[in-house]
Amino acid sequence: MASLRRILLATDLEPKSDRALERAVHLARRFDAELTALHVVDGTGGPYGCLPLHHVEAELQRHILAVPGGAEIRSQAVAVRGDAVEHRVAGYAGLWLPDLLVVGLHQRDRVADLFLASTVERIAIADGTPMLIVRDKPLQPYLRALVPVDFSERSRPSVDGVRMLMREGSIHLLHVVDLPGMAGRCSSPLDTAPLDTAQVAHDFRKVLGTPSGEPDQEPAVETILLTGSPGRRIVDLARDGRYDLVALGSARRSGVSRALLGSTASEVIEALPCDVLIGGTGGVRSPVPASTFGLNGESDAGEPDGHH
Amino acid sequence: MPENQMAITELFSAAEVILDAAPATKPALLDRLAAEAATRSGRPAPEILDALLAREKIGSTALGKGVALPHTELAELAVPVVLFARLQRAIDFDARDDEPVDLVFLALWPASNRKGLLAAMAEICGALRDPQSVRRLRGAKTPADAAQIVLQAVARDGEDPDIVKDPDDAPPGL
Repeated sequence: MASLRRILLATDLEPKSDRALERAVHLARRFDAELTALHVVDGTGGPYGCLPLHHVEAELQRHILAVPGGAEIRSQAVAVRGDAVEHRVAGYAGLWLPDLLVVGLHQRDRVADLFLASTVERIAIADGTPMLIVRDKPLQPYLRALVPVDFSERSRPSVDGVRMLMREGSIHLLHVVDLPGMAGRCSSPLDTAPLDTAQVAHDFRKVLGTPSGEPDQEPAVETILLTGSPGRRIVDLARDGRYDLVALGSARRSGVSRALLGSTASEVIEALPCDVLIGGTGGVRSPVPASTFGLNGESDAGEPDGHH
Repeated sequence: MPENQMAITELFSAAEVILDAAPATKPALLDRLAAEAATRSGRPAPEILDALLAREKIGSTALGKGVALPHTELAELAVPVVLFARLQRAIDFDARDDEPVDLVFLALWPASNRKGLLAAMAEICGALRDPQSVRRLRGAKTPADAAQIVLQAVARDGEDPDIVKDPDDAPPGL
């Protein structure tokens, strides 16, 4: 099971991103992880384009310290210039190799135009790190997670990602059957009689794998089997089930995630009522050349593991 | 500028200008600025000074080329405070370029208006990118002159958003 040692927070410094910052700090405290807060200054003259990068970094650090517990974690702040947020974030992630990327999600309005779902989706596609999209104020650790799975290896990063973030509570593995041949045979979402339930139970166990943590630090696992349209079922269940976290498959892959994270990824992310974890690529990551990040004079950080 | 933010032009006048201040050190300067801000804001000077020192602890607020922008947020502050001080003699401000500082802007912002401080800092930094404005501030005869120079520079910078700005690449003003 992956452990949470490095958290990269990508923030646009908007007040609406404060929840993502607070969640990142909470996770860093809970798992004794190191936090890097990254801000991409709009290189074409955005709102903070006039500020020296070291001032932006100091502001990031000040915001971290302002969060309760922020002074107790290992943290650093990095500001870089660039006009493509997703490439800068992916570039830094490719060099620093975080276990989790945290971003905030703005609702579409006339003020927020940077971290809309479309931007979040582009970051997810550009980088293979598991990405936590924070929408809710973090009042407590994640205690109730919904993890849609398609029983392929592609589902494992989602399961591993949720386990990385939870030491207690419950994880609900959801499999939604949407085969054309099922049409008309299942009279309701809960009518799974036509399915080979023994095989499904076996598949659930397989995708779940063997927990590697201490039993008392493992969330309980339950399984749910539904029929119907996966996207609609997941959103409906997330709304009705009072989940505080939904884990989706990698945006880089196909399979169950394709129905959710294909051309309509931003719509699905916006439709979910809670925080969303986009599973990573399961440890497969494309190497990123330093020039992509633009270390040569682009950032006051100097080295990606430098402390400030 | 969004409706919930206050522009520097709304906050700054000759009354916020201190010419030829004579602190000998950075702590003495911050102490003086905190005292001046206290009279304008109604907040206790020690509270303001502590917040400014906490911010400097993260990293110097010197911008380079002899200019500094100490700033912070205060929870109980009702309205923003912006001051400008010109020093009789430049002092060490732990600047990255090691240049002693003789022009200082102070920005205090209510913590409840989190976005306002960054926007104000960007406004001040943008205005100071004009080398002539910095030069004229050093030669200003009266507080009214200095205030006018600042406000004109802010206005010019706001009118020309297409200027490509790279404050990390030896800009002319800073």
